[in-house]
Amino acid sequence: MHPARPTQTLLDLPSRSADSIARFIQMIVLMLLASLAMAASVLEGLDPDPEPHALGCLLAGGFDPQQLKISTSASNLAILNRSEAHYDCVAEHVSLPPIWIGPLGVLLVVGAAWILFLILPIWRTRRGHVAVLPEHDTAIRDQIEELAERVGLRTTPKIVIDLVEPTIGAVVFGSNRKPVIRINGAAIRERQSQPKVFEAVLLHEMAHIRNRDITLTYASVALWRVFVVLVIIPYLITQSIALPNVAQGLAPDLVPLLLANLSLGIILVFMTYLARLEVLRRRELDADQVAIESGADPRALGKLTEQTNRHRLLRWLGQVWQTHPSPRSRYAVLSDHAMLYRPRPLMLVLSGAAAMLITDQVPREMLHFLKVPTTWTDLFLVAPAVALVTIVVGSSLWNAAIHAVLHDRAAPTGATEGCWLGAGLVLGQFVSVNDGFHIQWLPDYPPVYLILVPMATAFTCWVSQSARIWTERWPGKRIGPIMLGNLIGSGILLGVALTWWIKGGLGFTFGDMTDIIFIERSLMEERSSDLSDSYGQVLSAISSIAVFFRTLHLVPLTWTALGVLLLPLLAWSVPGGDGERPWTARFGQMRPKATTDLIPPRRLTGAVVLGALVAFAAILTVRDLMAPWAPAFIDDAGGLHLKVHSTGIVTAVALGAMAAAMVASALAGRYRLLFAVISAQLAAWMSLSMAFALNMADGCLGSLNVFRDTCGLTPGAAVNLFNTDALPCLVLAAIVGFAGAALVGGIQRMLRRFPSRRLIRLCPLTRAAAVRRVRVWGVVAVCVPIAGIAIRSETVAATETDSGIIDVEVAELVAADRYAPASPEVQALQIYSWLEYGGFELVDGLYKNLYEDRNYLDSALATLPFTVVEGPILSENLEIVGFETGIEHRPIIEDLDWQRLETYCALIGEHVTDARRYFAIPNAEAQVLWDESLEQVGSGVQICLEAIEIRDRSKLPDALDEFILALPLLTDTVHLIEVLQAG
Amino acid sequence: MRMLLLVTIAAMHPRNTLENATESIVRHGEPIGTIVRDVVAEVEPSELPIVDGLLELDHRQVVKLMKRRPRKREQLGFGTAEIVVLIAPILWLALDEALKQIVAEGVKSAVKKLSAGARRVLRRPRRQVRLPVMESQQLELLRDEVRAIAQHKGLSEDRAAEIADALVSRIARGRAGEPPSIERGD
Repeated sequence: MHPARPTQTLLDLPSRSADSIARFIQMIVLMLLASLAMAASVLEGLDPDPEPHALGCLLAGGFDPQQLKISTSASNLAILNRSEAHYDCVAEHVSLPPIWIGPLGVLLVVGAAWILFLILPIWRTRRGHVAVLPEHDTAIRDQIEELAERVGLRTTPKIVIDLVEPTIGAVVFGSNRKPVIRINGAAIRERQSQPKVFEAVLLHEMAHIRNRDITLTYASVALWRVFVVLVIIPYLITQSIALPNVAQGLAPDLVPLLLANLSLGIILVFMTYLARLEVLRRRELDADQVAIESGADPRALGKLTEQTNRHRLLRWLGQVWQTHPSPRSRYAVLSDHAMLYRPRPLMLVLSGAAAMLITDQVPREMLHFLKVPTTWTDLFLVAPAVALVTIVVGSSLWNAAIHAVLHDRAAPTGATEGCWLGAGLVLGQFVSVNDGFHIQWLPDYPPVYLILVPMATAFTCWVSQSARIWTERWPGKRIGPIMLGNLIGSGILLGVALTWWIKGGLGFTFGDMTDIIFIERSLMEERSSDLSDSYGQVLSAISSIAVFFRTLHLVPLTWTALGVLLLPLLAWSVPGGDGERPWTARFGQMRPKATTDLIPPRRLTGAVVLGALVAFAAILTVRDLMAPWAPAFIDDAGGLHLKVHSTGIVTAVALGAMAAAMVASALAGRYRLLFAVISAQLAAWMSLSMAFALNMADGCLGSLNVFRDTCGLTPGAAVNLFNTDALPCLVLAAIVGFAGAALVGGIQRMLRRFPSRRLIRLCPLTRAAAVRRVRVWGVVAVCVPIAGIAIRSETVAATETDSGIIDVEVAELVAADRYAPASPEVQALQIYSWLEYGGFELVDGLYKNLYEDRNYLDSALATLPFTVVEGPILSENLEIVGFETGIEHRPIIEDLDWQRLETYCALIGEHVTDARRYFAIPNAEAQVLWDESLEQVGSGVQICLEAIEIRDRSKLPDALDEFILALPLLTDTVHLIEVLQAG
Repeated sequence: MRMLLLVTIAAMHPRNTLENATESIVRHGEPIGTIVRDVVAEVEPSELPIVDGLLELDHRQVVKLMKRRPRKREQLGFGTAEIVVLIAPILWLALDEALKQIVAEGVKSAVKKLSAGARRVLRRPRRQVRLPVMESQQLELLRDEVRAIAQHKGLSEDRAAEIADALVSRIARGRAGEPPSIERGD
């Protein structure tokens, strides 16, 4: 059976070739970034005397090479790798390959690929392998010219003949500007006996020329070959050589990291190869379609794509390594174009994996070198990958939506596509090596990676539904700008989500879950002893949520992303029904059959109000629950009560948002997701306003007062609420909006699958019994999570009691728990490194300023009507042997050099800033002392600068006091450091 | 002196020497390409553009081309997997093989080797390889050879016989009705 001429016309969509071009670019970017990263690795591997300072900078930050397998240390290393102090240390002390080495490697690869690209067609047309079509053979020439005209080529391509090739075929090569078609000898012979086949073959090749496939295809071929020879093979060799050295060296636990590097090389080869083949297959299918539109006989094409009968799995496994689509898929596409516009699973998986690998390969050092602000670094890291995924997957989903709307068919929901994309993201994350976590084979919590799947699904569903809503309703002449705008919005959403993943989510996979315990304990530290135990349980519960919220504040563009989610509301502004759709004019008679009705504004408002009311009730409940604890906090500025209140508010708003999302989702029909998210957002805004109003009126609410017991407006507290809670509330509302839509969608699908009769048959209960059962399950559904939280809280509380940790200082507690104690030898090394890479300069600088250069301040103090005789009594070795205090009155001296004094204080201030930027001392006790001394000095600097600003001499003694108090702390720190350094 | 050295080096290369010697021996027969073209025009005229292309190449290039393996599927390539048996390569290869057998005996003397080497070194223009006059026994052997190759390539017995007969009769008939040459190459 051969396919008949398809009734559908191939759509000349604005995005038709965008996705495959973007996929080519994605592959090329992946190869170039890998070249950039691997060039430096290869040079490092070739260096016989590896740089010792790299390890020094890690040791200075507290890295323990003997305990890599302890997850907290792993997490520590990951955090360390990204700290400013580490960047500074590496930049100052480690002689990294020059910054231009990476770009030079890329240039080398690109240059070699370019030369190969130019040589390939010359090689293919060399004398003795092909012959030029004879001049006198006008019949073939005329036919070829006529075919070129039919395809729409402006000039007839150069034709050569492969004289002895025995198959009826042809191939096109060269470049888009100078294409060459090589026709097989057999095709020339069969030209007259099988004219339709000959025509189909040539039309297909000319379609490649029209689709401008040639340059991209052969550029990728050239780049791929050069990449393997110049990058991958040297990289694998240098990494293999390094492996035995590391295994026997100081840090044998780094072996997994090197193996991960090795496997990365291999995986990159496979991925780029598979991605290239996937794109090529897609271009073949496109060329088939253009050939048919140009008059190729579908039966002849069908003959060229005869089916095989291999098993489906075997067929697929064999197929992914082929440069051409299987005859079956060609045949299927010839019969139905829809497949051409649908995102394919392999493409989605590869795009996801490529996104993560591209992010992994973007050199952080370069961003640091380009002075990208730290808060934006991660967004810049994910930006290239996000841009490519958005173009590849987004334009593909748009194509599917346009095709479906014009042919009145079902468009992909985005759910399956999201799962494939998410699977790719997970796969890419597993094989990424530069995230700083790959010193273990697997992370401590691998299931956390699965967060990427719903994230990707939310993205694809949102794009898919947005594409559908606009293609159905857009009344303009061009759909391209709308698509572009939507893709930019989608890119922002994905960018924010992936930035959150890199900044916060990824940490959860490797033990940053322990932060929950830290926050919980630090909250416990703050609580008053006269509060009931139940308050502790509440603190325990909220600490888990607080960790998540903390990460939200780290992501830039979150507000913009929240705004993007509301954009589909604009769809109400355009008419639906059977109105004109001028942008469909280019597709001839095809136009949307009918538009799907949007949810009426009244219903959406109802859902939002319902959600807001639920949230309001929950907020009142939170206030009611907190009221008994309130007296302990009245007139207390402590943040603990505020934290509890914030968490309560966020939870209440999320409840309301969920209610709004589910109701809107049930009413919204086809655009369930868009309106669920919008209604959740709007409900969250409304709920926040209510909470805002209640906070303003705190003190006048009787038993619901939380912070104050006197009536009066407090706008400050309300503004504070907005600053701290608005973002978590709205982000959480968006998340529950997606979740609510998924839940309702799942239920509706289940109900469709199990119609009421079947349900009744499955569940032969009377109505009353069914209601009872629902109630029982409802109670269970509510009680189980609560019981879980309670059990967990009890467990944590028991742990605290056992260790008696509540009485310990918070900083110590955090340090002691985060970093497993290093052996004395390693600790000595760490302390030595800490001093060597900047610590000594800082301590020494502070000492010098506070002791030796104190004449600046002394001269200032000499201008006072009195002098404070208070300071350390120093021995000859500058050690403090005692203190003396006293005030000595004297006449006022007018001329005070304020400028000089300011220089002095500012200099000390700079030292303090530098010290805070530098690594923490890799010992908890020493760090506490160091922190305290810095705090003290910093406070002195602040007083000093304030006094200078208002030219107030009387404050100067206070500054001096602070400095003097810092000295013994500094001395203690130094003593402790000396002890530790001695091992 | 330099010339002698070059000639000696060329003579030490047996493969090239044999081929060049073949060319030097067969100076007066008919060009193989012409014979192939005439036969193809008779049995498979649709292959004429291919033969015309082959005639643009050296004999050695043609033989090398014909012995090449079929190409694997290439990027942006399109076509059937089905193999079409081309007639021209069958004829050309069979004639090349026959020529080698005829000439093999004539290239035993060192002088001929040296003269072939000299031709190579002096880069005299290449000629069309010509087929010497064949005796009837040789023609029978050629007929069998062509039939065997054609059937091995997948042609039917009748078609193979048709092609072999056409070739043999063309050689016997001589060029464009001329009486077949009876000279043997030097």
